[in-house]
Amino acid sequence: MATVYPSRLQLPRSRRWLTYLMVLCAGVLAILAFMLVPLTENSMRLNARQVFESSRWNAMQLQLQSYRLMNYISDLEEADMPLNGNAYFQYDLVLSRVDLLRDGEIGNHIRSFSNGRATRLLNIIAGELELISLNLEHLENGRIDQAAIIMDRLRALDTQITDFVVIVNQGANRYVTAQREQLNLQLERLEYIGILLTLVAALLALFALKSSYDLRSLFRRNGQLEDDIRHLQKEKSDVIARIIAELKPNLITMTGWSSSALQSDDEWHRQSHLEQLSDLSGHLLTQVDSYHDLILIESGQFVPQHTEGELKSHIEYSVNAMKQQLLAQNIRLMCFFDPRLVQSFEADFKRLHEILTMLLGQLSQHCPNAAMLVHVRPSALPILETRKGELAKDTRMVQISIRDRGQGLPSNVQQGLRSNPHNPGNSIISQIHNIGVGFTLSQYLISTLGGELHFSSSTENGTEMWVDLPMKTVANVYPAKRSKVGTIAILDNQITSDDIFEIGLGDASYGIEPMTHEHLLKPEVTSGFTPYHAVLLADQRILDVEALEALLALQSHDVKLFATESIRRQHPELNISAIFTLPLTETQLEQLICA
Amino acid sequence: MKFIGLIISALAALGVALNAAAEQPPQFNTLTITGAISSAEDAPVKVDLATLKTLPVEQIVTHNPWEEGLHTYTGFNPVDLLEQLDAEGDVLRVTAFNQYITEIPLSDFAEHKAIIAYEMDYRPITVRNKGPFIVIYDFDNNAMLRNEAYYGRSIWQIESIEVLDSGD
Repeated sequence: MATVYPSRLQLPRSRRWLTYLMVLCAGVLAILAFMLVPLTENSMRLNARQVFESSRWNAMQLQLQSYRLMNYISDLEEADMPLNGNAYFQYDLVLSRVDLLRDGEIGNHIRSFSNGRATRLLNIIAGELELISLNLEHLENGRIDQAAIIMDRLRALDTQITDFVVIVNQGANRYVTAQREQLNLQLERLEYIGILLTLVAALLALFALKSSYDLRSLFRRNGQLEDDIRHLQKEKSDVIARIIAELKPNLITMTGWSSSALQSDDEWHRQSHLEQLSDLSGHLLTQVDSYHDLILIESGQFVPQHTEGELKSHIEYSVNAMKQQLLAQNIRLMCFFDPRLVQSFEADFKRLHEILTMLLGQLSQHCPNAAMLVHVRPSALPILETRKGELAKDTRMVQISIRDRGQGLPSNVQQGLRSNPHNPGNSIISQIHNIGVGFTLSQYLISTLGGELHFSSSTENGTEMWVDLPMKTVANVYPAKRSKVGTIAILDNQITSDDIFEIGLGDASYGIEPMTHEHLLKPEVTSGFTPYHAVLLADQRILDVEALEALLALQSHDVKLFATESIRRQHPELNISAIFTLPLTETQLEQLICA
Repeated sequence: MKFIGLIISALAALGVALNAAAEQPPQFNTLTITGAISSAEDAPVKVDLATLKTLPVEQIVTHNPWEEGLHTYTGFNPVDLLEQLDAEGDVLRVTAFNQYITEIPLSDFAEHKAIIAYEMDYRPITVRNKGPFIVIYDFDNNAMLRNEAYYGRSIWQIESIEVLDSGD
């Protein structure tokens, strides 16, 4: 299952910088573009100002008009009189140029030429021309003699007009040179800005290209994530279907038992059904808790809940909780503890209960009618270096061995159990597909609690599972050494010589040994030198005559016989010392011995 | 004393000049039209100011590079004049008293609403003040006109107009 980590939702540093650079480029682009506006405007203004041309043109027009006036005056004869305003007209043409050069934009423009010399000259010219107007008036009144005077005055003015034209021309040249320089400067700036704009635009284009690639990969990843989500949803629905499939039979059974209990008039039956209902509902609760834990593990929110407690009582409680399921499969389960184990530990007993019930439930499906042995003992496994820091000094590994003599686990389940649940390619959902909810939950819970799960399985020898879990010893006090007072033989063909161990019952220690029917019939067993303190008739098959005789012989040598109610009923000839129920626990066995 | 005398003389001369301008002889208030005028049979047509004032009056309020400030120009559209004269041209070749010549497409008067003004700020325009006739464009309301091409066409002291047919 793909997991979306929060860190992946944030942009990596390089991308963040890329975004900042893009924003910076856009900002620079905006500033440069904004700078272009006044520069262009200024350049346009500089380029458009042709006033220098006008000043030059009008200065020359002034000179030209003055020559035309002179020409007109010099050509006048007595016969031309009266002039009828023609002299004034020619005079006005000259003065209109003077006015143009004095006023308006051109007047302002030439004011700075040669430190104001042009304006001073123009004022003199204007003054002289105004004085000529008096002579013109006389001329218009018919006095032809005024023509010569006007001509003299105009000739005297000619040098000043020429000086004025030269000054205006020079001033206009200087002005245009300065304007051109300024324009060139502006154009240069525009060029730099253009280059900068091109560079920034190129950078922006590169960033945009990179971003488009990123966007494309983002879309691709998004599509992949959507596929993953769809896949996950499908897997989730599969898992829920599996969970329902696992819960349904128990719920149907409960419904059946409830109906039977309601309909039954027999108080014993009703009581029995109610007990079964109670056991099964407890088991269902455990199953529901387990599914919740699985979700917590998947979402990374699983927190172990350590409590102090007696290990034996917790394990026996778990074993007894499976009573109905084991009986339904006719499984003879016995649970023993190594006397070297301390009694109290600090552990997550709730999850230990879930692990054990799930494992027993799963294994029981593959070993109907078989014997099953749960043996709790100190583990030879060291605590992993990586977990040492997390765990206290007094933590020990405890091994819970579950052995059955059934048909072994299917190969796909074995393969699934061998795969590391924390392998990146492995997911809870895929594990559920491979090995089912029960085994998956056990595997993940054991791993999450810092333990290990090992197993061995074959069709000939059945299955053995070793659950190694770290547990903190509450008080570092080990049980006192007990002296061995006898051996208890378990009569069951499926218990082999591998299952020889010692248990502590009360102050004494007892050896547990398997006993097959074949072994029972051996003379050394039935002779008076038998080493057995008691024989536990675990096998629920009807005993044959030879076996009965052997057991009677043993009984005659003060060997106690422990059997189930069913065996006692089938073989009343046997003097059964005490009745036990399956699953057999050490606590029950202790009561049998004491009885 | 000489300086004061000079000023007095100058002021007196200015008064005479202004007076002279106001009483501008009528021959200078006449526009000579020549060219493609079918009704005139190639003879020049002289149109006086009084006649021109009978044409539809057009007004433009604008700035221009030759005068300071905003001025109101009153005049006529040459298109109206040419219609009356039954002229066939599309270009006006305008000549000033100083013999400055410029050619103005007739479309300038039709599209840009240029006029030939005979009044500035509701007064006749004197020769000294670039009168009596000036071509005026609406520079304030049309930025496209603010360039040398149109400044060059803004001819003043108009003496005559020749109607040309460019053949386009």
